[in-house]
Amino acid sequence: MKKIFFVLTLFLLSTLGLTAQSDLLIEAESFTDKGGWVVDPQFVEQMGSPYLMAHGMGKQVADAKTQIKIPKKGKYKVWVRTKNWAPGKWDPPGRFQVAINGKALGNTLGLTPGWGWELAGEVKLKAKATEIALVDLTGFNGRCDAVYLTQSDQKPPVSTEDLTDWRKEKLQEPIGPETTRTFDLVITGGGIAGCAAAIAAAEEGLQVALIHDRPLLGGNASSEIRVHTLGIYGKFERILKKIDTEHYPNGSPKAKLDQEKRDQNVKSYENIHLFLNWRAYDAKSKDGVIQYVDARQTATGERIRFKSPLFVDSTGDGWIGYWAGAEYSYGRESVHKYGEAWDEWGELWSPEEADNFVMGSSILWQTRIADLPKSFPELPWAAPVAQKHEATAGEWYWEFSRNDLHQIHDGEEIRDHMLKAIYGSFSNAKQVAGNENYELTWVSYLLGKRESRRLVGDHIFTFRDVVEDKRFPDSVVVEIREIDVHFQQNLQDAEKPDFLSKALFYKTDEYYIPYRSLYSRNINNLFMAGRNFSCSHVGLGGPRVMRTTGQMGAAVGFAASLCKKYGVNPRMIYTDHLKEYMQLIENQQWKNP
Amino acid sequence: MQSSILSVFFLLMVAVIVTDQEQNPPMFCTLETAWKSVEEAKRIGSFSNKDTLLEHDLYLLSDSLGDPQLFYADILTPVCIDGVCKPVFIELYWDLTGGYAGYGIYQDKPLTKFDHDEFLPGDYKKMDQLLADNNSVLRRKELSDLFDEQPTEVKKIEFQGEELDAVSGATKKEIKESIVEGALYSCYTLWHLIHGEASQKIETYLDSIYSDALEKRMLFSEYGPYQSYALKAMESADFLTYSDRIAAIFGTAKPLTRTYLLKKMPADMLDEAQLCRAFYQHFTTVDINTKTLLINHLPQAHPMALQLLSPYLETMTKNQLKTYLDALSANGSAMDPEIRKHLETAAASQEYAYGYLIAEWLSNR
Repeated sequence: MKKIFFVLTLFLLSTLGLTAQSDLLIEAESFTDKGGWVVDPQFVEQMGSPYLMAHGMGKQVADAKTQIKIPKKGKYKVWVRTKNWAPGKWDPPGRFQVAINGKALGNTLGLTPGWGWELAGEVKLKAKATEIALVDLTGFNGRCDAVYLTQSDQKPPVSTEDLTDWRKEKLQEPIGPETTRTFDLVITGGGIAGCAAAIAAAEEGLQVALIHDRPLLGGNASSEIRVHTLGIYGKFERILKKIDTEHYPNGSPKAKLDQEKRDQNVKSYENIHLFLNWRAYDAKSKDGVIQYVDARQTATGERIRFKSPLFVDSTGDGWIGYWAGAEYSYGRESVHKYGEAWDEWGELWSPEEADNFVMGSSILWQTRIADLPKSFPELPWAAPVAQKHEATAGEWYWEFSRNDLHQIHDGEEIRDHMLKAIYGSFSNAKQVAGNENYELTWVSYLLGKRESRRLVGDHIFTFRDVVEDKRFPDSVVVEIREIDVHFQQNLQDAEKPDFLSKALFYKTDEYYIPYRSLYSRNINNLFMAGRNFSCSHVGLGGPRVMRTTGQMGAAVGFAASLCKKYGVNPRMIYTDHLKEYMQLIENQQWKNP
Repeated sequence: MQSSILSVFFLLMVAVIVTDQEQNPPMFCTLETAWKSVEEAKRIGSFSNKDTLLEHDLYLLSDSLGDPQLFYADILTPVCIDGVCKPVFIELYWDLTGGYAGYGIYQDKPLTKFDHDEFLPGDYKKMDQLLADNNSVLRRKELSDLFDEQPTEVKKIEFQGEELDAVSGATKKEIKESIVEGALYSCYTLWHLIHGEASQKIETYLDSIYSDALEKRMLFSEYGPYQSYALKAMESADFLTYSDRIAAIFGTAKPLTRTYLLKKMPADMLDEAQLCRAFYQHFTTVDINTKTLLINHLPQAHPMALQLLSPYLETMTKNQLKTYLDALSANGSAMDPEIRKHLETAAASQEYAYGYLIAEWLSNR
């Protein structure tokens, strides 16, 4: 609501004659009634804003609507920021229209490759409350970032930099957030690691802020992504059982049960202050100490500055560390850097020359067999990706990585590629006799990422720590699951679809991760837990699964409590308080549920 | 007791079979020419099966010139379930790097399934495919994992009133799809014989006989695993010596070999006009990851590469196109009219997703 408020202020100014013409910018995600459209905040850093998406799996979704007040009557051009997410010689899949007061404007939208402004039409408006709606035409992921009404002939800016400034100006945003909140510990990222960190710290009495950009906790384990949690509990069974999942098949709707359990459990802690649907967008450090994290509500645009002596980066992509200037790595190291060879698999395991060909991201999906035949269209726009592949079910190996793509910067392209793979493969399967009754019941639109930035700690966990069976004085995480590293099937066989992977499993006995891999080497008050912990590419292969990352989170939460007790930074827990810390962790095993 | 009786029996068989191998061609062999050239067999050691504890002899097969061609073992092994065993007779072949090369059976000793039905032709083929897959799901499974029909860890949980199996079906499905139905035990045993200790011993043995001559033979072989082995063993500086051969391999190899080769080759190798053409002429036919590496190499390559790729702008991904345009900007010299023509065509194309990036780039020049 804030954004609309500020824009209306602009209108007041304009009615006083300070500007000659009126205009109005409405962020799509701030629509009060989203109908069947979903808020997608995954790619803010790349395209500038959360947006609304008509994720109907081929069925048109209900209109998204909001009320605006037009302060000055006249003729308005209606611009929409959108993109054609599958351009080519076919009708764009994500087509939609804008309707004003129930009447659709003439132009179909979602036609232009790349994020940009398309003209929905021109309309005469009276100075009164007006309903604006997004009307989905396809059910195949049309997307709308913002709607801009203007009496001017000038098109809104296109380039990312110009657009950012223009947005701020149109929305009259102050430089900093309107509100500041202070906590003992600020955790960004409510996946399994972040939840575990919050619970551990809260149990030790800390006031904890848990900032998460989705409505549901759990990250890759949430019912929005539905990867089951693998690995063991280590010393933290009691805590991790509050937030983990059963071992149902990946993508199973049973994830909803575990979702309920997780949400209830985390919410039961009075001193965990949950900020759901808040996405962090900045973190500032001074002399190696983070001063604050700024976050924005993904729908309303409201902002809060979070202050704390201690921060946890459990964003997965290492955003807090990245913004604060923490050292990080990305990509596959040369096999020689840490001596991570497994000769049998050579380049597939660890390359001679470093590269960016990391493990990919997955989109899980589900079908059911209905009582009656269900139609599903042929999809020319998905065919270049799906090719002849036929499938009625997905699994973990529906995974996409390519050496020209970055798992963070190119996230939207990766997600869209997977959507084409899924819709196209399912469409192919539907042409086969016997599959008439199959129906898509669920396709995630959130990327389940395996690998992205890894923040550098005092210890970098690598494959050698596993092979050499290293035990550390600060071993806080223990795991027995195989080290598994994935590669794309089309590397071995060019005929294979590019969205399927294989795994290489290295069997191992127990291995350990030291606490020193869980805080930043150069940012003094930053912990990390989850896939962005301090490790190499191969080192990530084993402990990236979610009970293991949950162990990291819990270990970090307990460390934070001792940091508070002694007024010290994370490193000093290792140097000055290790005995007490290890005892605190050891004691967790004996606590009653 | 049973194992030792079988072992004795097995040893007797080996003597018969090794001398008989010329008369018994393998049913499947990826290196058939090599097999046909074999003139002599030399025992180089033995290997064991971790489940039966039996030792099997391992032979190096060479041609009339004494050049190594294949590794070979004649196997008689029990395949057991619930204490009931049956013998399996099979000849196994490995290539010189320890990879699976093929297998053969004796006409009077067909492979059978557990219910004693003989393998059908499709079953033999499926066995060949399974053995060829060095990353089979069987690799990480113990016998007990596969044959435990009532896993104690299976939990039942309820969802929306239905009781459901809580164990992921993905692995079970993967196993079922990869094996010969009804012959899981044989599949498991033979897969581990091929990919177990024997394979490691062959690798070690290859190291002991590896020479410049053998390296050259492998590099010039049409067999992908030999090409990969030689490329990996070579110093990158030696790539120049064999540049024509390496360019030829690049044209036909699988993506993994192509990308390896492009990453390893000396950066300035593509600066030579003829070699540059030899590599970049494959742009349209190579896989997308190789395309990326070719585009990434543009700054080091002969300027003709920019021209060679220009007709194919509309096949490039967004990031590939950006890298291409960066290389074009960095090239400095006046833009070739042909490149400009292709840029303008791609910029105006309604079917190319990233034409707008070219238009932007052109407008900034």
